[in-house]
This record gives sequence, structure tokens and C-alpha cells, in this order.
Amino acid sequence: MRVRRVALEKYTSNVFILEPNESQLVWLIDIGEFEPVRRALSGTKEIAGVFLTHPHYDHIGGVNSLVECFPNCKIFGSSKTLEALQNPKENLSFYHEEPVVFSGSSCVSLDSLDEIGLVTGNSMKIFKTPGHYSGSLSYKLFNYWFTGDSLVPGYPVVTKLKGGDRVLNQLTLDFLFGAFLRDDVICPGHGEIVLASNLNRKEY
Amino acid sequence: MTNQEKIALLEDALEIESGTLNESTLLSDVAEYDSMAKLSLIVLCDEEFSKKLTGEQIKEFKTVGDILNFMG
Repeated sequence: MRVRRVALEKYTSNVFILEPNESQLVWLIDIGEFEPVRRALSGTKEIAGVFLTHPHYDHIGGVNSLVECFPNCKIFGSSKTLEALQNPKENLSFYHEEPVVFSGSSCVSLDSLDEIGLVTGNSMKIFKTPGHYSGSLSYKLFNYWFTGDSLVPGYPVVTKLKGGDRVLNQLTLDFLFGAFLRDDVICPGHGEIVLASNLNRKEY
Repeated sequence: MTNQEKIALLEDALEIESGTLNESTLLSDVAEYDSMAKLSLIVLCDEEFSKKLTGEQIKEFKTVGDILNFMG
């Protein structure tokens, strides 16, 4: 499995491309923009699904372009995140450049799941990590954690936006730091990928 | 809505300790008044006061009082 980061210039948010070995299918973590991701893919790859960490516009802005190009692509997320794709005020795009309203239908709620299979032998673990947003999810594949904005190394978690909760944020951080192993790789919603061993709970 | 009530809403939106702000507070002195706070302010003005706040208008705000005047 190869994990590649696409750093979006427009929003400074990240998209991660998950490429299983010997498969033409890839999965994404978030989709703030589609065009930079499309350019990063080799021509024959197909995006099978995108796992959304939360619905803020800088992480979902490219969702309509994604399904237009890959109609079979599934959109995974919490039910709150999936609902917010339809609501530009909830996904905050209303207050930015252009409102985002998801026009597709291939949404899969992960509310009742704690893991989901990608291909044989690969399983994405799913964790509820509220704080930045009430329906935030973090994902784990092998030793890679995709934390969205629930943990952005080097920065305090933003809890002042709609759906944010400072108390839940601290509980989420307690959980994440308790679960991290030293060699785990943290792939956040913004900024560089870091090793868990380089993070200090006290700084958050 | 009184100015005290508006200030309370503002403190809540910016996650600032209650009683910190007053009308004459300079926004440049408020460490929490960052880009996320400004987005939160835009949302607040829309949802509580039905007013559309733009980035250009935000740049003109110098004090908490300027924000209260915008809220109306």
C-alpha cells in the first residue's frame, strides 16, 4: 500500500491517495479540490471511494468534480458529514467563495461501523473523533492515521466553528494520543505528515 | 439585543473567557481573533443578525465596538 499526500495550495488542506499494490483502484482521504488529485493520479487508476474526515469546504470542495469524473466513486463519512454535504451553511462553503452542494448519491454512512474492507487484507479502521466538528471521523490503515482537523500537528485544534466542542476535543486528543504507537504515521488535514513519536500531548 | 448580550455572543463564538471583551477592546490585542475566529464571526452575523459580513468589511474593524455597530 502506498500513501501519497497531495497538498492543496488553494486551501492549504491535504488529500491523501491510498494505492494498494497491484490494484487499479485507489481511495482518497478528503477531497478539498479534485483537479490537483486528478493530476497526481496515473492515467489508468480509478478512484473507488473517498473517506471524508469532516465536511468543511476545504476538505470537500472537490466532491462534485470527483463523482463527475468517477461516477462509481463512493463517498464515506459520518451521517452528519454526509448531511452537511447538502448544506452550504453547515459545510461553511456558503461563507467562502462558492457554495458546495453535493449533487451525487453514492454516500455510505460509517456511523455503525468501526472498520471497513478496501481490498482483500486491507481494512480501514474508523474512529469517532469529535471536537473540531461533531461528526468528525479519523481513519487508520496499517500504521497510518488520517486525523483530518481533529489533530493538526503544531497547531491547536480549532473548536470555535459550528459543531466544534472544546471538551469533546480534549477527550478526542486523549483517545488519539493513547492509541498512537511510536512508529505510527500521522497524516493530518493540514500540514506535513509526522511520526507519532514526535508529538507531545501536552502541546495540545 | 443589548451590547452586553452581543459581546457575550462574540466571546462565545471566539472562545474567549466571558468578561474579556468590551466595546473599546482593540481587535489587534485579541490573540484569539485569528482567521478561524473571523469565519466564526461571519457565521455569527449571518445566523444571529441575518447580516452578510465580507472579508473587506472585516478588515475595517478595529475595535469590538466596530463589530457591535455592524451587528446593529
